[in-house]
Parts: sequence; structure tokens; C-alpha cells
Amino acid sequence: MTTSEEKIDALKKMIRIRRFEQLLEILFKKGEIRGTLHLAEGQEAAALGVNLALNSDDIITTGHRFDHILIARGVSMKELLADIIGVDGGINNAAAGGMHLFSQKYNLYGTNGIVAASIPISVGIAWAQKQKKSAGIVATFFGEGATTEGSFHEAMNMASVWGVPLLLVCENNQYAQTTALSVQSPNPDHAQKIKDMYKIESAVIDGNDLEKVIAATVEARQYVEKRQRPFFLELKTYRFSGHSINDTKQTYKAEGEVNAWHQKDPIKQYVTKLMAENTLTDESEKQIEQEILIEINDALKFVSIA
Amino acid sequence: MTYAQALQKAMQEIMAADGRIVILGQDVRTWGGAGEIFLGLSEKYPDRVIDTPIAELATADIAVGMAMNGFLPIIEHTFIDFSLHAADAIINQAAKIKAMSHGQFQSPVIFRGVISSQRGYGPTHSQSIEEIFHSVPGLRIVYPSTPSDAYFLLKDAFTQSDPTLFIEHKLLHPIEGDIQDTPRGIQNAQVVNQGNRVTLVTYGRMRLLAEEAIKQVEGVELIDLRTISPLDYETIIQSVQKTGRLVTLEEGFGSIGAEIASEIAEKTFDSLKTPIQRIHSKKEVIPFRKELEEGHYPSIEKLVGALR
Repeated sequence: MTTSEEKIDALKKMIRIRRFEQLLEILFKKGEIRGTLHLAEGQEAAALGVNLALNSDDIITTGHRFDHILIARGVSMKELLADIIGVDGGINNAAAGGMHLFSQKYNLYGTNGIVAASIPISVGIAWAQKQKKSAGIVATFFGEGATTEGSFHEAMNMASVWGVPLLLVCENNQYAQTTALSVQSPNPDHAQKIKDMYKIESAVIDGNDLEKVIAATVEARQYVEKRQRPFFLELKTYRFSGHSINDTKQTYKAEGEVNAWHQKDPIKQYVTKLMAENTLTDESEKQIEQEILIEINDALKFVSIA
Repeated sequence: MTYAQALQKAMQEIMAADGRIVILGQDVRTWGGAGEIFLGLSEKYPDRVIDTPIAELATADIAVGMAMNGFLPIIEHTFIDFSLHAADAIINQAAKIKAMSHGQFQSPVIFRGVISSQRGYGPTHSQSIEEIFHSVPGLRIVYPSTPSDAYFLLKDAFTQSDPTLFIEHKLLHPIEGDIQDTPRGIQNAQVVNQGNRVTLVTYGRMRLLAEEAIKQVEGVELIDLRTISPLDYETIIQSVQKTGRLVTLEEGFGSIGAEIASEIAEKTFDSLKTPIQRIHSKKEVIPFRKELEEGHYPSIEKLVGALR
């Protein structure tokens, strides 16, 4: 990603994710959304950075926190809103709600409502890609909370002993619901653990720095494709959202901690960077927000919410 | 040929005919799987016969992923009790993906498991697992009791778009029989013996007990379900409308019989001349001592008594 246009477009994509999630929050509070939401405000660079480095014939799977990943993938606001609200026009005919979304069109082999289930499933999908000699790799997105499930470890073991083209994208957002890293595991250094225990190549990246995430993913993707082996990419990030839409108070987060991460907000960071390079101006930033607002209005009309 | 040989024949034919079939399980290469039904296949098709480490949950999920991406996996659970490790993969993933994805994806995995009861293996190696899984929508369950049914049901399972729990019993593996297609579809229940006085519905290993019983009692119309889910109630209803009496026989604790009994009572209550009877095992943790283990399962005396 080198041109000004590409960078502005990337910023717009992150803003799109952020505004869409804020829209979902508003709609939920108005009673327009049934079930729940697992939003990821603060994780936009992680989701977008990886997706910008993937090809459209790469296959993706996710867990239950997926809106940011799917918008980053290129699913339109209209489509995703339709599936979440429960009307026609989505990618999955609103068959099973957000946590059970599938799409041939976007090569989405499922969001998943069961923590970690998507990971061994992705090992199987990747095995099939290798067996068929298909071009695309498989990228599976999960939070660090999934790495304490037994099936995660079974999957790591088999992915490594078999050798499958699987990019393991771990969004380490510091919490599994209310459970902090130090309570989840005696050793929270996931990338190192995976390398030591399973002989899977790994890297830890600042998940809030968009261009670092892109660069790391490009390299990781090349490794996966060339070697037909798994790669564990840990992205350190933070979710400003609660675990779910019902986790409003987030009492488990320390005051100072939240502010510190706000200083590292991925969108703020990137705006600062682009302004410093003179790629972005106050005017062009306003322009982006206006365009996103139009998309939002179109999406609301599309699902018949005035 | 024996039941095990019939399965072996089916696997050889399928593997040769369809490159999408993949076999996964513990020791399937070296030992050829339970009943040796996969023997020789790892030499002919080395990349499609996979020895897995002991990891039932991930293996089952991996098979789901393979199936979503163009393959037709069959997994072995040498003792079907081990499939409980894979419960999430079977129930939450495999059985639901077609419906959840609005038909965009399918996960037709075959979970092959062997029941090993009445062999002194103890409670966690002897269970009739169909009872635990039969309430799951989207999951087919078949349990053949003859070599011919085993052959045709296994081949049929590979043509389905839904996952299948393919159940066998260790004590059925050595029984002999010819491969002969049945007049009605293999997915239907089979009327094994015609009779006018009482309908006996059973499946799996208990068919052996049923066949013994009908030598001692006249007029029994014996029905072998073959497919537990979806269950062919129509064949049973037609039979009960003729005989007016129903006995169900199963090795588990009675839930399959209970479903059948309710359905018959709801659909054709006025055909019944006597109350429905269920013959099943005692609901207890399966005992080990030989005499206790024997007393746990349905007996020929109890069955004959119910039929008379």
C-alpha cells in the first residue's frame, strides 16, 4: 500500500468499521436488533490490516466477534445489516443470525458461535486447499481467549504435524469476556508458546498500527503459501467495546488502562500519520465521514429502518 | 461374507470410485480400522487414509472443514463412546452447517463408531450412543444389522448431504450374509418377517435377539429400522394398523422405543388392541461382572413374554 489514494481508502475502511459498529449499538438500544452483538471498537487496524493483505480467493473463518472483520473483508453495510436485523438482502439470508454467517461470495466459511470451534474446522478447510492444490490460503481469526480451549491445542498440533496452509490470526485484545490475560494462563506470550510447543512459526505485532499489520500479514501469507505450513500471527490490540452489548459497565477494566489504549487508538494513530505526511487534510477527513454517513443512510433504507 | 467384510468391500469400491473420500482415525493405516474395514487402503491411497493423533474433537471438526471444502470424510471412533469428545463438532457444527449457511455449504461427514457391549469392557466402552444423539436435527443415524444392510447403508451415506452417525456393533462383525439389495429403499425400515398378530420393531444388535424370539412365537411382524434418524414411522404405522399390537426392542435405555410408542399412540391409537410394550436395558451404569452384565440387557425370556 503505497499511494495516497490507497492510504485514504484504508483510513476510510477503518472509519467505516467504526461507524458501522456505532450504528449497531444505536440500533440495538432502539430494539431493532435481536440477540446480541460482540463489537470490536479499537480492533479496526487488526482486522483491516490482515484483510488488505489477503486475496479474494483466500478463505476466512471467524469466531463470534466478526463485524469488523467482515466489513474489512468487503461485505457491504447493507448486506451485513440485513443478516443482523433478520431480513432479506444479506449474505446468508438471515438464516441463523450474526454468529452463524456464511458466504460463498466472500469465501467466508463461517463465523462461529462456539469459541475455538472455527480453528480445527479451518485446519480441515486448509488441508483440502492443499490436497486440491488450490491457490487460496485459509485465514482464521480468533481472540486470545480461544487459545485456552482444548480443541485449539488439538488443532495446533495437527496443523503442524500435517502441514497445512493456515494463517492463524490471534487478536489479543487482552480479555476473554472479563478475564484478563494473567488469569487466563500462566504464560500469556502466545506467539512464543505456539512456536515452542507446536513448532509453528509465529510473530507478535502491534495490532493497532495498520501499516505494521499489513506488512506482517504480507510476510506471513507468503510463508503460508510457499511452505504450505501454518503461521501464528499475534496482533496486540484492545477492545473499547464490552465483551457483548450487555457488558456496558466493563468494571473489569482499570481506568488508566483504558485511557492508555485510547492514546493508541488505531484510527486516531493513522489520521495523525496521514496528516503529518500531508496525505490527509481536515477537509478530506470530513469528506470521508460524509461518505460513510451516506452509506449508513442507504443501509438503513435497505433494511427498511427510516 | 461377514458384516465386516461387507463394509470392507464397500470401502474398497468407494475409495476407488471417488477421490473425494478421506478416511481419518486412530491407527487406521496400521490396523485398518475396527473390523479391518480399511485394510489395504493406505497402500493404494496413501494421502487419503490419515492416522490421527488422539484428538477426537479436533479430528471431527477437521473433517467438517474438509467436507465444507469438497471432500467426503469418514471418521472412525473405534469405541463409539469416544465420539462424546466430539459432541460439539457433531451436534453444533456438522449437523447445523447446511441449515445455518442457507445451503451454501454442506458438512456430510460420516462418523463411524462401534458399540462394544457385552464383552466385559466396562461402562465407558459399551454404550448405545444413538440414544444420546437421536434428538439432534440435521444428523442422520443408521445402525445396520446385516452384512447387506451394512454394505448398502455405508455406500448410501456417502451420497447424503447431511452428516451420518454410522453405528455398528462388534458382535455383528462376524455374522454372515449375502449382499442383496432390499426391494424398498435402503433408508426405509425393513419388514424382515411378515405376521398378523404383533409388530416387533428393533434395530442393530438386538435384531439377533428378535430373530431368536420369532422362532419361538407365531405371527410376529419383525421390522428392522436400519435408519434411526430420520425414523420410518410410516412402515411401523402400517404394520400396527394390521396387527394391533406393538413391542419395541432396543439395547439402550428406551428413548428410541419411547419416541416410537408416542408416535404410534398419536397417529393410530385406535388400531391398538393392547398397550404398547418397550423392551430395553435397565437404566443403570453398565455393570462389569458377567452375570450382572447379562442381566442388564434385554433377555430372550422377557422378549418372548412380551410377544406372546
